[in-house]
Amino acid sequence: MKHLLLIVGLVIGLVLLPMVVTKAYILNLIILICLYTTLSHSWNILGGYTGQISLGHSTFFGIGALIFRYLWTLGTPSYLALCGASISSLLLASVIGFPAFKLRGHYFAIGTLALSMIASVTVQNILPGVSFSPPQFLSKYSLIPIYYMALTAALVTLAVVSALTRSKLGLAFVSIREEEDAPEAIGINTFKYKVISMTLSTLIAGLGGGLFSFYVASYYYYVPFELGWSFDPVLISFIGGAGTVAGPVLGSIVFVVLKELFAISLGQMNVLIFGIVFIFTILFLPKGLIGIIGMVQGMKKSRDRLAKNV
Amino acid sequence: MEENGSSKKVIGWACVLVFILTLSVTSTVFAQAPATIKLGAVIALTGAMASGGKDVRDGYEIAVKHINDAGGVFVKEYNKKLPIELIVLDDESDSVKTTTRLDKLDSVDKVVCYLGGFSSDLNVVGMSTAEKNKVPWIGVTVAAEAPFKKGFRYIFVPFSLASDQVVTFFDFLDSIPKDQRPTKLGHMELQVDWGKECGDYIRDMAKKRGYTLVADQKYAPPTRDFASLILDLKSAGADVVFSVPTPPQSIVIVKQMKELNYAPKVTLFIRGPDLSTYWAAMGKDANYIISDGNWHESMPYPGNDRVVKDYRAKYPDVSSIGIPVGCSYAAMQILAKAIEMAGTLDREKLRNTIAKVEMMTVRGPIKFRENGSAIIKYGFRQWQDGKNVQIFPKEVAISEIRLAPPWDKR
Amino acid sequence: MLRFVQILSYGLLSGALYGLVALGLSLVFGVMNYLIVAHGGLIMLAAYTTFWAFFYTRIDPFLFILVVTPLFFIIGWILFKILFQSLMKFPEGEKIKNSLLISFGLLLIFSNLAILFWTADERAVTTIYSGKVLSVFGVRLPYIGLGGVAIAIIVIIALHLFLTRTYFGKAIRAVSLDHEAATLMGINVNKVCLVAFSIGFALAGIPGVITSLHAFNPAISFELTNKALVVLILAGVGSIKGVLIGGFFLGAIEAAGVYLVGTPYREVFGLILFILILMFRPQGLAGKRA
Repeated sequence: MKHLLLIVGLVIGLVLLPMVVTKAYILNLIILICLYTTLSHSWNILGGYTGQISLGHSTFFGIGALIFRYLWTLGTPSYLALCGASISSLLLASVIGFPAFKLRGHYFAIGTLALSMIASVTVQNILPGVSFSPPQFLSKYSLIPIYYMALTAALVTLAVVSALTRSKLGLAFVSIREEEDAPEAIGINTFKYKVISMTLSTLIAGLGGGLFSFYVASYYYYVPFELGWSFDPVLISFIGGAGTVAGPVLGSIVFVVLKELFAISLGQMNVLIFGIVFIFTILFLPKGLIGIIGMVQGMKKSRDRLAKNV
Repeated sequence: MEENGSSKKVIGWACVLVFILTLSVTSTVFAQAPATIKLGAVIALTGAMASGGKDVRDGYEIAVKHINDAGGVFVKEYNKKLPIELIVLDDESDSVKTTTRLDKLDSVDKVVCYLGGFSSDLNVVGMSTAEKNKVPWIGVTVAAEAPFKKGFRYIFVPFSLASDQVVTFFDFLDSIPKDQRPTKLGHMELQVDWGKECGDYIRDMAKKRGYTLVADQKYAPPTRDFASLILDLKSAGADVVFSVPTPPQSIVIVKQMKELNYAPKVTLFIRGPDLSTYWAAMGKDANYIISDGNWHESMPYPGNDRVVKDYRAKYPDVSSIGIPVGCSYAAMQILAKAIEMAGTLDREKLRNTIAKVEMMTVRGPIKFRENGSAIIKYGFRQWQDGKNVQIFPKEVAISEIRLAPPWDKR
Repeated sequence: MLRFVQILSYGLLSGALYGLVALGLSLVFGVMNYLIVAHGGLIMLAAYTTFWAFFYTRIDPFLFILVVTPLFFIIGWILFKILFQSLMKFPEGEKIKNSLLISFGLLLIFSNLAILFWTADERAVTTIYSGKVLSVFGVRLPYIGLGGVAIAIIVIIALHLFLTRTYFGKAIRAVSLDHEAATLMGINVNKVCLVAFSIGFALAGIPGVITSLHAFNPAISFELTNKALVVLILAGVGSIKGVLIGGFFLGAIEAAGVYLVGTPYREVFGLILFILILMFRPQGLAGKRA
């Protein structure tokens, strides 16, 4: 119960934040954290919970950005365009994503990687230019509506994943992850559940893509299709703790804030130092950042036990 | 499901973490003194564009040193000379980071003006960000013209654009004596905005200028194998080739041209061979390749020798100094002049003043147009026996153009 | 016709390099389920090593293979002991995941160290025989490309002999089939993995040398890793010979792509066919069915 209060308090705090903090930089960082949380959880649903490691999420992210931009410049209200972006991502998945389930394990991973490479090259060839924000938006550009859309996207995502963890659906996902063939044996249609998992996953990836397009005033059309958008959510989820609700959130916060701090203070060495810190984290926290909490709890428990024995 | 309760606890810890970090970032904001002119640049120091990013940064830094050695820029509003403080951030060759870090320079560091980074890919996004933040932006190594058609007010680019490059290309060809002049043009269009703009100009102008476009091919940034394109150029008999390849491609294309025994009289690759390491990479095979000549260390413009001297003091082993160095130095010269002319550090007034600047820089005379592009002198360099020399236009050329003979005669 | 054969030849020559690029990655993954995505970074570092050696001593790159290979073997040995040995005890899924993450960190470190030390400028090695070709019925075959094919074949044969004729090689194969069974047979699995890992690194040196003869910069680390992963899966996990076949196959398909859909879509064509092949043969061309 007090956990729920804590979360509600946090949400209210975030909602009220723009009235207190006007520094665009802070809002930017929170928007980025929300963006990465959304995208990482979209991967997490398919990869962390259902065990299907996809390296092709940049494709669904990218198409979300593309469709959002298209609808928005035509005059569609932003939240409606966001829904359109989300759905377009799902439509694309139904064509290229679901058939990919014929592949298993590493083959699925590299097959989806190939998909994202195809998408990024194709988009660069067809749309080699820049998508400029329409002039009327550029002059009135404000981070506030973007901030709230980002919060909405992240909260919706977290709500979905949270609900998943409590449902039979989530249980089915995890059973597929744990042992690919066993669920078949007890009558669960693995293909059907994989499809549902990918549906949720790509809907959210499209959501993230739409948010990206709303946030970044101008960008090259191919940028949201770049492979970094496929790899970053994987790294973030694993570092934070895949298959959990809080993992990708923690991972996103660390990823965004740490990289930013390094970039500001370390100049040319920033990515190098980040790589070193990254490796240390994996070596000492194999369960992800979530593991810190477990370790702290474990230490507290053994300290309590010691205290009791005195 | 696992870890439900601890998940919530983690979120609690996470919010504590966020607030602590927020506090630490905001607190650094208050430690500012208005005793310097703060300028900000987001440049590719790591990632795919890092090679040119270094040159851009070097140019800025040498300029800042020269300005500060003289005491700084006189700002009438404070009735004294203020030194320049240039904050450089890395965008990791990632245009999204270009935006967020430019935003940081605006909202946290409150810079007076932005300076550009390296390459169209990143700069075009930077220019949009400057426009939305209403901070003047002056930068180089942007040749794409799309941003100038958007009615942006805050951007200034003292550099060649696609149209300058193609027009000068034809001027350059015209300067070759008629009996030796190549007239059959082979064009390879890189599928990026700048590449397509150049392509459109070429297709539009070739015939009018008296040249025949005999081959017109496309390729993309990931392309690593040019056999098909080269065979086409060869069979069409193209004796002059124009393209804007990426640096790796500028090496691979020439190597494959040698393998397939194709040697057009003139090969112009605007980007790629201009890097000083091209000769070390290609050896004698780099001879005769022509590339961008926005600036050269030999240019006789005032102050240029000082730039070269300081650069070579820092990098004694460089065979030829990269173009961005002189160009970014000039950008800083223009900005310093504008600040002085404006007499204030107010962004709007500065923006209006930059637009009126007309001056002589280390890369020649500069005057801005309404849309922020500039009237500049453009030319080309050529690799000749280990040296990358300016061969066009004649006023600043230190060597004559050499037409390439067949491979077996070199 | 001649034009098609010329383009196809170039594709096949590239294919030999693709196979070499994937070889080390495939070996290490097959033996111990470590997915070393830093492999592209290793190849890049080997290319730089070759470049600087050539710059200062003018030593021929192909000869330099004899130096690079043992050098990278040692680097692999050291990195295994420091970073990867501790992962041996994890189950398969964890091993793949953790090795992937650690080597991704390595990839970032390698490419940024390269930028710090040598700048991101484009490099290449150009020897006196660069650009020279063997002309066969009008088809021009660059000596460097042919050298690459020859090296690839020699390496595959050498590796095959090592794995089938030597005790250690057979131990490696036993370990790749079943760690527990191998232990029961008295094989020191840790030691075998250490050696196999180091061989994997050594095998990065060879394509590194050949890459240096084209054009490279720190950013190709990522490109090469992607290529290696595609060839690994196309060939199918567990087959060494399959890797070279997969490489040639991919090179040939890409050449066909240039001919059919044009240069800008060359990679796309290759990748679409790659996916289609996987649809009909989910275990890859020469892989073992799960």
